[in-house]
Amino acid sequence: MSLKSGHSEIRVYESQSAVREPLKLLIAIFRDLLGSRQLALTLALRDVKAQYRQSILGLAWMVLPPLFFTVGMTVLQQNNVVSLKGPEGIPFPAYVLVGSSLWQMFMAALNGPITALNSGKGILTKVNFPRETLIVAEMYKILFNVSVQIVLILLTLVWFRITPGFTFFLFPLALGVLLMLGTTFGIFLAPVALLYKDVSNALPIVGYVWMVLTPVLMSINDLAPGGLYATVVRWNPVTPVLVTARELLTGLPLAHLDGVFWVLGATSVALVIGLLYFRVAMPMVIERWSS
Amino acid sequence: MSLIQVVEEIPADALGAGLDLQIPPGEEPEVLMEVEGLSKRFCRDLKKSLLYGVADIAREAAGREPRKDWLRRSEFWALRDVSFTVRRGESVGLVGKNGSGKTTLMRILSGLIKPTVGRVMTKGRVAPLLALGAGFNPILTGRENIYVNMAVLGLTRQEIDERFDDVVKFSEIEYALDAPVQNYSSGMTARLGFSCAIHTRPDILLIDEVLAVGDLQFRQKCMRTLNEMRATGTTFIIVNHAATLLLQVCNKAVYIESGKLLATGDAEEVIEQYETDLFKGGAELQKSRKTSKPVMSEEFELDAVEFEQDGKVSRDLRTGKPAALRIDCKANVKCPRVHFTVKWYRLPSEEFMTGMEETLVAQFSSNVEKAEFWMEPGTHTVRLPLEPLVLAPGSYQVAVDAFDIDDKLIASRRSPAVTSLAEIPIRHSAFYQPHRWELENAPHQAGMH
Repeated sequence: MSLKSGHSEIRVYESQSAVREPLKLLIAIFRDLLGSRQLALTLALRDVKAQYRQSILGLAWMVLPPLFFTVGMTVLQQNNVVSLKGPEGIPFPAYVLVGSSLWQMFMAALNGPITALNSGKGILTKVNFPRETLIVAEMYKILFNVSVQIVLILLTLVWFRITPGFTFFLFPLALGVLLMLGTTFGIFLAPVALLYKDVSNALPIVGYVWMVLTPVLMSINDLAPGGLYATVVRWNPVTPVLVTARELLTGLPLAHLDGVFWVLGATSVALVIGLLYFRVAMPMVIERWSS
Repeated sequence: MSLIQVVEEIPADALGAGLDLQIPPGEEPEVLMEVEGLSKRFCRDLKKSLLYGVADIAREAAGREPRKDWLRRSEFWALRDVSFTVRRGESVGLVGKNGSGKTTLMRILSGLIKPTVGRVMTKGRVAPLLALGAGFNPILTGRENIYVNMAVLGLTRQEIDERFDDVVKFSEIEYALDAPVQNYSSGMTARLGFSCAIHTRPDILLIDEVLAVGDLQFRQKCMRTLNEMRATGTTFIIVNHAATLLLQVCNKAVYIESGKLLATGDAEEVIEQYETDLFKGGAELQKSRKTSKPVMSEEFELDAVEFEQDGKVSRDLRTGKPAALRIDCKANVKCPRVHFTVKWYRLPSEEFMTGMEETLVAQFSSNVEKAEFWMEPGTHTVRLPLEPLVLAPGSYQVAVDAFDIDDKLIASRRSPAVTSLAEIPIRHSAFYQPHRWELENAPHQAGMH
């Protein structure tokens, strides 16, 4: 049925690793990413539709976990079980809700590639298409969920009469860096995670430890400087991004904006390397999945 | 009916021009697929396989050249040094015992997995039919899934919009289009998947044993479509165990055994060799097909044995309608009193193909019926009108033997395998008996409805 030899695409599969010509490979990856924008959107829409077709509460599931977490933490704090407190002028529940929501978004981005590739097993083992598309589709889904959560955050800010500062418009930048950071970690983890379940099993534990090392529930200013804990928290790449995102939302003075740009720069480089790595690693994974 | 429309719509203008462009007289069509020295190693042990996987990922990422001829512990060669070429318009049957490496080869050809050694080049759009409806989401409706599936196969939204109606029409599941795919039967899913795949208009179609799904009518429609697609320049590679099915659509075959290429070339010969090997050593040397190599003599040749229906040569016949058997022959010398024997064989159904024999269902001899022909040197056509065709639904082959005046066999030839299908259901019947229903003494029973 097809006689379009004029614009036939030539594909070559050979044993040599494509990484040996990184620029050529990178161009191919970006061309594929560009070419599969529509497909990514189609796949994301498919999943979002399917997700809510089997649910009564639907979108509420996006906001219930941080809400209940916040209620729980507030109960603990009010009864002096934990001695956490937010900075002056921000009610503790609002502080916890914003921090834990941002952390949840980061973890969603980190888990994104693994989740996407695991649920895409059926297509990955049968059809050869740009596999990055699944990750992009997952990012669309995360953005969708994130925007629902942001609505909750904004409602909370209004409820507690917190006014963000004039730098509020920078929030999407900080949020973008946060999601990009998570996704980049996820891309590096994904190929091995798809082979060994240990990675997925370890992720909740790692996530928990990582959260302890990130100022999600406390203010970074309350840490005693110089201690090992404080040093680790400061060098944690999530710290400046999450803290800045929270400061932008709640109108607090920006103390770590420069850190956001450092993280952005490093993440951009890492993401490009991650994409190259992902591209050459996936066939090795797929051949070990049953067909 | 829908099928004819599909095919007419697509290549009508492209066909003439395109084929002329591609196949200048005297030249071979362009190479669409080239497989050179292809090898692939696999591991039998899952734990080691995963470990090697991590090692392979690290080596790939570091850009290190893999050690070519080296098997690690528990590894084996799933494919070893396989090379062949496929040109536009060829259709290749891939045969071999279970576990011989057919699926591995298909997966490499579709770019899912990487060769360990060697190289594969493909040109044009490749549509893999390794599983029908890969990417179907059970919760979503058929309509939504068409969009997703065809998008995964590489079509833009606009292209899908344009072809949507054809996809639905071909699949014949309009009635279930808005039901979730999880409520579909496997046959319905297969119809939708096949329809999506062929409407991507691929240059190369890879089909791995998926044609067995679906009812007889749809399977035949698929076969017919495949034949039509081949005629318009699509190339396919088919894995199937049914020799008759392969011979219906393939002109070339590749035979692999334990990962090694044993034979490649003319479908008839290669499949013959495969079947011979398959039953070698067994007490019952049965073959599902008799050899169909034509026999010729110096004085007389049989050029073609074909069926005709509706005025054209056809391999899909409709029972209950008029048809004709046509024998094209050539006399090189004057042949007085040539007569023919026509034997009808019913081929075993595809599912139980190997190991079952064909059965003789009918036989006519022209000399018994006092029909003998005086043939001057030159070409002749002998026609047997069959009014109507009475074959029960199934696959058939006709063997024609020609004899001279002394009853000596001078030529012999088989028709291609044909299938017959009844337009009205024929149940519990060995053949279709033409009949009518009439009511006599009509006035007396006029009140009956």
